[in-house]
Formats: sequence, structure tokens, C-alpha cells
Amino acid sequence: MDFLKKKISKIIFYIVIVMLAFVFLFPLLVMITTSFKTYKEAFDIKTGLLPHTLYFGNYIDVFNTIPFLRYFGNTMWITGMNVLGTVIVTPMIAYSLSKVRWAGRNIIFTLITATMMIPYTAIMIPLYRMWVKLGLVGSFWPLIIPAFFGYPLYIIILRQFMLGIPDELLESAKIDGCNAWQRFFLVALPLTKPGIATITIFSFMYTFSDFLGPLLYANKSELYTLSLGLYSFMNEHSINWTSLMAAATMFMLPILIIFLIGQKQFVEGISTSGLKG
Amino acid sequence: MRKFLSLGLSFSMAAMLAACGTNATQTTSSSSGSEGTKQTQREVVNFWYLWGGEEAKLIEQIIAEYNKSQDKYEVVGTSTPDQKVIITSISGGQGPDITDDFGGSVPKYANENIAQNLDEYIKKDSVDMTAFVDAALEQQKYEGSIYSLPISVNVFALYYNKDLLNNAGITKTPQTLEELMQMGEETTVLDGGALKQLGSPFVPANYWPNIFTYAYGSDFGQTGKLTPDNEGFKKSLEFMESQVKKFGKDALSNFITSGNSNLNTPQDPFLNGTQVFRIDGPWLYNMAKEANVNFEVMPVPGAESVGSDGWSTVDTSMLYIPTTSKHKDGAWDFMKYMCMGDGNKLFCKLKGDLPSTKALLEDQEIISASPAQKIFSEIVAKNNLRVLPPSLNTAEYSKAIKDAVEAVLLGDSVEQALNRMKDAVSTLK
Amino acid sequence: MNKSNRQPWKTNVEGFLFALPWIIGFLIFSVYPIFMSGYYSFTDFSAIKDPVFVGLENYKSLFKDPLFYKSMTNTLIYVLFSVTVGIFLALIIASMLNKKWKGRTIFRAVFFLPSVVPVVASTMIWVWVFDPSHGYLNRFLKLFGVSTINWLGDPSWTMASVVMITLWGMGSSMVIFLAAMQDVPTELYEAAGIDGAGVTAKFFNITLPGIAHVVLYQVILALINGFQYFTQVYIIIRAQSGNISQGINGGPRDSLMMYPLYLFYNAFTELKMGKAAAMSWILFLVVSFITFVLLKVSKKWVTNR
Repeated sequence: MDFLKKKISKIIFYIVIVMLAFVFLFPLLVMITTSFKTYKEAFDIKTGLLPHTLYFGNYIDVFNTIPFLRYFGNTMWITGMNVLGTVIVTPMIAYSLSKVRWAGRNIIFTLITATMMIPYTAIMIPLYRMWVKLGLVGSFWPLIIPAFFGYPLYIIILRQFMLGIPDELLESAKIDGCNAWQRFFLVALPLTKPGIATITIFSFMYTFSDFLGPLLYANKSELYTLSLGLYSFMNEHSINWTSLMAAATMFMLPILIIFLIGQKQFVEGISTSGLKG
Repeated sequence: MRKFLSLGLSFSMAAMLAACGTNATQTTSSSSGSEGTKQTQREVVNFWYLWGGEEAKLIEQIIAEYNKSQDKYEVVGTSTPDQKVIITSISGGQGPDITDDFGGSVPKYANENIAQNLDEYIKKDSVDMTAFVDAALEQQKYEGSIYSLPISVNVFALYYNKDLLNNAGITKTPQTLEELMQMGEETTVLDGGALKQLGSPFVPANYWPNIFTYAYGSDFGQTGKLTPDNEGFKKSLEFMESQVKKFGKDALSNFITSGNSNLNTPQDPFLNGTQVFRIDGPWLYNMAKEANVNFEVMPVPGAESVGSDGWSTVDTSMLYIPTTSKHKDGAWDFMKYMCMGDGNKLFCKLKGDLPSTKALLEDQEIISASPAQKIFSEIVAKNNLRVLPPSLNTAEYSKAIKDAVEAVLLGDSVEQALNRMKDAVSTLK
Repeated sequence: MNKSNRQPWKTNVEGFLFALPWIIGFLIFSVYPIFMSGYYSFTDFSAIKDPVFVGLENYKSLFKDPLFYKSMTNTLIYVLFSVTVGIFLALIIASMLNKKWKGRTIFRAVFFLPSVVPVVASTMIWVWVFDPSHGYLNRFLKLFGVSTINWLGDPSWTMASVVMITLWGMGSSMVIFLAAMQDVPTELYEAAGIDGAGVTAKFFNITLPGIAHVVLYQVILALINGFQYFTQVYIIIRAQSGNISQGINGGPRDSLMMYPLYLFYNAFTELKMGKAAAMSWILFLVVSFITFVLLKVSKKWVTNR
């Protein structure tokens, strides 16, 4: 009796979670299947989720409508530079806040936490004007340079990681004659690898799909990112939905690949990361 | 060694910061024409336009013609289908040398020093401004000066589905606004609580209220003296209210909002044969032909008390020179080509837009290019065109009109909607 | 330890140098703009015109502006629902995945996946799914006899629709909760099991207190994201308006006019940057206040840290 009850509740559990999973996957399925439909078919309510025949014309149309590779290159360049900046600078700052017992570290940490609470919209206008004055609106720099000064969220994540490094290790390195930079590079950094992987993926995901930043700064067509490029499928009087879906599918592909490769690393990374507390 | 590395890192960072400075100056100097000097001595003029897709290809064709027609300037076109991108770019000092927009934006751009005052250029070249259609030119002015030139006009006409009218046993076309409303009501079909067919031209939402108002012989006032509660607009809202009462709030609003979000797609109610009357622009003509709708187009009739027909709001597409433009003379030359020269004729011919100059309105090559072109050109020529009073607050004013219509559609009374609108408008100039 | 205490100045210099990039960035990218925002809010300027001092004009015009209140209310409602429902959903799914059963890593990936889809792409997909006449959601609901819902066109549904889009992307919170849950000592569950506690009792008495600090952290992050909610509504409105949208457009009855969107319109469509700066400052104060209250209140129930 009890066994049966358990079995039934297990089945119900599976049904619920499979249904939930389907709901979460469904929009992505829609995107992919619509990208293989003809324009007429996409609007036809008699056609189901799947197209009658696989139609590749939308993908060709994407390349005819926008310089996809160029936009992809732009997006990758901005993203790559952001990841680079984040990876270089964040560990240094996190190290200072977790493993160096200096006078300012509590104040700095409090300030970093407070900075995280500032909505971007609240500082958007002065920043924009600052870049205008520097003559850099219409270039990638406003989207890249800030990454080389560390983002609060990533610093906090890495700090939590580094707190887990035993002080004794650093002490003994010091006794062995390592100076501050050597202790950082040779001892702390290698032990923080999973944390760095986590912030790499975070920073990649965030920059890759950012919209407001490029909208404000990369506003010449040769500088467009994919986020802005998708705009070209919205014409004055109608939206080219099927080509848009094809472009969106291709847009998602790199992030999907990275996600599938790094999934385990990423989730494990979070498991030991500062996001937990 | 490690120390060295980190030092190197901070150095390379500094170097990057420095590099971006030099980079930026390099790009600006190269775009200011130094690369062109070698072969042709031509000055590069950057033209950003809002058109995209197929239309962008036509624009490129015209640009190529312009570049062939003279050897002083080299226009480089870029499709940029979002106004805000262009504006943020101009604000950043990195914008185009010349760009396009809609006539309604002129006061704002003039006041904020975005658009260049053209008076001196016009005087210098003694350009005859009476060449433009009056209502179109009116939209390019702010405080007595001209800030842009119209490249084409948009006017609206009444489309009707002949099959649906026949099905309802109606054999003649509406001669007055009252008849149009009557027929709209008669041909609206309710089926099991949902609207199956819409008679009245409530889709798209943004053209009919103003045009009905004008067709009643009213308008929305003058700059500094707005009349949101004018008789015509009140009557238009009352008509919608009567329809909401008759067919039900949900039935009507579901149909209309759904229609609005599917405009010009295969699910557009006029294109899939579930809308009888429609007030829309020339672009619908070819779409309806392709969708095999059996339809006809006619000027919007006036109310009985008014008599004449061809009532329409007019919107212009225009070109302006941003104040940040680095090649204003070249931009001005190209502007003349596009708005009144050979380029304008080519533009209207290729794109099927309505000309903004009186001469082209009589040019057989343009007006007989297609049946649509002919009907719409006639409407322009009838000159029963009205616009919202040009002011800094035009956007807010037209939003207030849109909000009032939406409120009635969603069940508010005309009085409520108008009172709220008067409140909203009271602070506007 | 002792050694570093003997050379505090050296340690201080060391710590300072390591933190220097952030300190510089903080001054340039946070302190400076916050103060400039304050200054600009008392001026009239567009990016081309230089600021002219106008006193309290911008604040006065904001407090008279119905759209200011509307956008603030919309954002507060959005934040309230997206945060509470989002965190709740993430907790439920995380606790479902926290049990040991076959295939849970695959499901973990499935629930996480939507949060990596680029925002512009995901928003467009949802606009398509939400379409009243041929969208899959209505087609699906029709099977159950539900009549047409105009998700993004009917002002009484729009808020629910955008919250749904946000819920779809709750994967990253979910993964973090899951990780935290795996750290809750299993002995606690075993002891509760012996005492005869049910699933819900276990969740509320053991799981939730055990991960309270993580929940608080995620609530704050979600809150801040909620106050910055911009891209999705910007794109929805652009997709719905059918043509290149002129002027201010807040969706049906302004039901999608979020605070950052209205701020953006003021700055870059209306070119009233002073007014937008005033909005920035008000937003900054509101967010600081809410976070402060949240941190104070939560001290009572978040014991773990």
C-alpha cells in the first residue's frame, strides 16, 4: 500500500516536472521551427509547430539583409575584451579584499556592495555625456573600458571564492620568500580557477546579449552588435518574422555551445561561489 | 618575473586607453574625407536613413545616381532603422551629415539645436519654396524658420472590400461620413460573442480619429491654442462609443488590438478579408493586391454639413542636416537633389511615394505609375489636408488623442475620456 | 600574520594597489556620474546644448507629470511580482531538482537554458508566442476552450505577460538555490523525517532557513534588475507599434511604460536630459531606500550570516 502510494507520487512528480520542462523549452522550439517555415506558413494557423518542409530561405535572407558575420565579429570583440578585462582585474581586487589584511578593505567592500545597488539607468546620462566629451560615442571603447576596472558582482563572487583559500598557504609562501604579486599569481590565482570560470561565463553571457549599451554607443551600422542587428528585420510597416527567427537562432548558437560545454563547470562554479552568501 | 608581468598588464591597459584616443581621432579624420582625396578629391557625405530591407536598396540606387550626376561629393548611405539610434549618435557628435525623419519632429529638433536652420542656404540659392505642397512645407517650420525639406508626403484614403459590401447587399459607396459610419455598423458581424468581421475603419488605430475629425470640418487648434474637445473629435469618439455599446467592449477591443498588432501581416484583418472599411496609406495597396483582396480605394468623404471629400491628415518624410554635420554644404546639395531635383522624381518613382512638390503632382510619369499613385496624388491635390499644430508638444498631443480613443474603446464614456484628455493637454502649449 | 602586522604600511600599500583599478573605476564610473546626475537634474540640457541652471524646474515638471507616476507605479508592480513570483518559482523548481532522481542534470540544464538566451532574441520569440491570433499560447489555450487573450495588447494582461517572460528566465536563481540547498546538512532532513515531517514542513522548517541568506541575496539582485527593466519593453513596444515609433509610446494605456523606459524617452526622444537626470536621482533614492529597508527587516530572519 505504502509502496503503491510512493510509486504514484513519483509518477506525478515526473509528470509535473516534464510538463514544466516542456513549458520552458517550448519558446525555443518555436524559434527554431519558425525559422524553417516560409513567411506564409508561419502565419497559417492550420500549420502546427513543425513546418511542412524544411525551408532554408530565411537563413539565406539573414545574410542578404544584414552583414551577419560582421555583427557577429563586433559582438565577439566587445565580449572578448570584456571577458579579458574581467579576468585580469577582478582577481586582483578580490584578492585585496579577501587575503590582504589592509586598513581599507572593509570600507572598499562595503562600497562595492553599495555600487552594485546603483541602477545603470541612474548613471546613464552623465556617463553618456562623459563619453561624448571624450569623443568616443560611436566606438566600442565605452563598452569595453569599464570592464578593466572591475564589476561589483564579479568581484563579490570571486572574493567569496578567495575567502576559502587557507591563510596558511599564503603565509608559508611568504616565508618561502614570495612577494605580494608572486603570492597572488602563484598561490591564490591557481586556486581560484573555478571561480574565474564562473565569472568568465557570466561576463560572456551578459555582454554578448547586452542591448542598451550598444544602442547608446555602437550606433553606427558598421559597429552594430547582433542585438542591434536583429532590428533590421523590423521594417517600417511590417516585421520579417521568419528571417528574424533564423537570425535569432544563429545568435543563440554560440551561447548555446558555450553553455553545453561549460554547463558542468558553471553550475559547479556557482556551487562554491560567493553567490551563495 | 611575475612582478614584471603584472606591471606589463597595467602598462598595456594604459596603452589601450591611450590607443583608443588616437584611434578615435584617426577614424574621424579618415571619415572627413582624407581617404577620398587620393583618387577623386570628392568630399564624403554620410547619409543615414530609416528605411530598411528592400526600400534601402532603392535608396542606394538613388544615391548611386546622385554620385554619378556630379563629381564634388560622394554620398555614403547607411540604413539605420531606429530614430533613437540616430539621435543618440548625433548627440554624441558622431552622427551623419544628413539624415531623414518625420515632419512632426521638426519643432523638437529645431528647439534642441539638433537640426540646422536652413534659411541661409535657401536664401543663398534663392530656392523657390512655393514649389512644395503647402501643408507639407508647414511641417518643416519652427518659429518662422525652415529646418528641413519634405521628400515625400503621406496621405490617407478609404479602402473598401467590395466582396464584403456586396455580401451585405450594399451596392454604392459612401458619399458622406455619415453613410460611411452607417455602412460600417451594418457590415460589422458578431458571432458567438466575438467579432467576426469589422465594418468600421478602426484598424489601424492611429489614422482614423484625426481624419474623421477633419472630415467633420474641425481641427485640433493652433499652436498656443489647442482644441482637444473640438466638435469633430467629440463626434468621432461618440461614434466609437456607440459601436462599443452595440457590439460589446471585449468583442470590439479584442478584434481591434489584435488587428493593430498584426498590421500588414497575413493576419491583418483587411488582408485576410475580415475588415470592410479601412483608412490607410498607399503602402497597403500592393499588399492588398498580393493578398487577392477584391477592393477599391476612394478619398475619405466629408460629413454632410461639409460636403467636399479627400480629407486626410498629412505626414511628411523629410531630410534634415544635423548641427553636428561636418559637411553641411555637401549635405545641402544632396538634400536639394533628393527633395526637389531629379532624385525626388526617382525616389517617388522607385518607392511609389507621393511627391511633396506641386510640379511632380502633375507629372504624368509619376501619377500614372500605378492606380494607387493616381488616387493618392489626387487626394494631395485636393488640398483638404490638415496637421496637428506644430509645436514642441506635438508628440504629447498626439499621444493624448490616441489615449482618448483607446479609453473609449476600453469602455470609458466620451465625457470621461475627453475630460482626462483636457487635463493632459492643459499643460501643453 | 605577525610579520604583516609589523609592516602595516607595506600591507596597506599592497592591498591598496591590488584594489586600485576598482577604486579608480569607482570614482570615474560611479561617484562622478552620481554627482553629475544630481547637478544635471537642476539644469536644462540636451547632449548638444550645454547645461543651463534652472533650479527645481525639472522636479516640478516631474511631479506634475502623470506619466512619471504611471511609470513608477508600473515598475513597482513589476518589481513586486517578478521578484516574489520569480524567487518562489525558482525555489520550487530547485527543491524538485534537489532530490536524487534519474536525469535531473538534464532537467537542470533545461530550466537554466532560457536564462542564457540573448534578451533581444527571447523577447521577440515571446512577442511571437503571445500573438493574439496565431500565437501558440492562444492556440494552445483554445484547446481548453479559453477565448482569445490579447496578451500584449490588452492593458489588463500586459503586466502579467511581461512577468511571465521574466519568470521564464529565472534559471540562474534556480541554479544558485539548488547549489545552496545541496549544502544544507542531510542529517537535518533525516531527523525531521523521523519526527514525521512532510515535504512542505521540511521545506519551510529546514530548507528555507538553511538558505535564507542566499534567498535574500537573490532577492536584492532581482530587485535591482527589476528596477532596470528596459530592453524587453522597449522591444515589445517597437514590435507592436508596427512602424517606426514616433515619440513617446508606453504600450496599451501606457501599461508597459516602465520607469527606465520613460527615462530613456525623456533623454533621447524628447531630448530633455535634465528631466531625465532628475528621474535618475529619484530612482537612485528609491532603490537605495528599498534595499536599506530590506536589509534592516531581513536581519531578523536571516540568521545564517
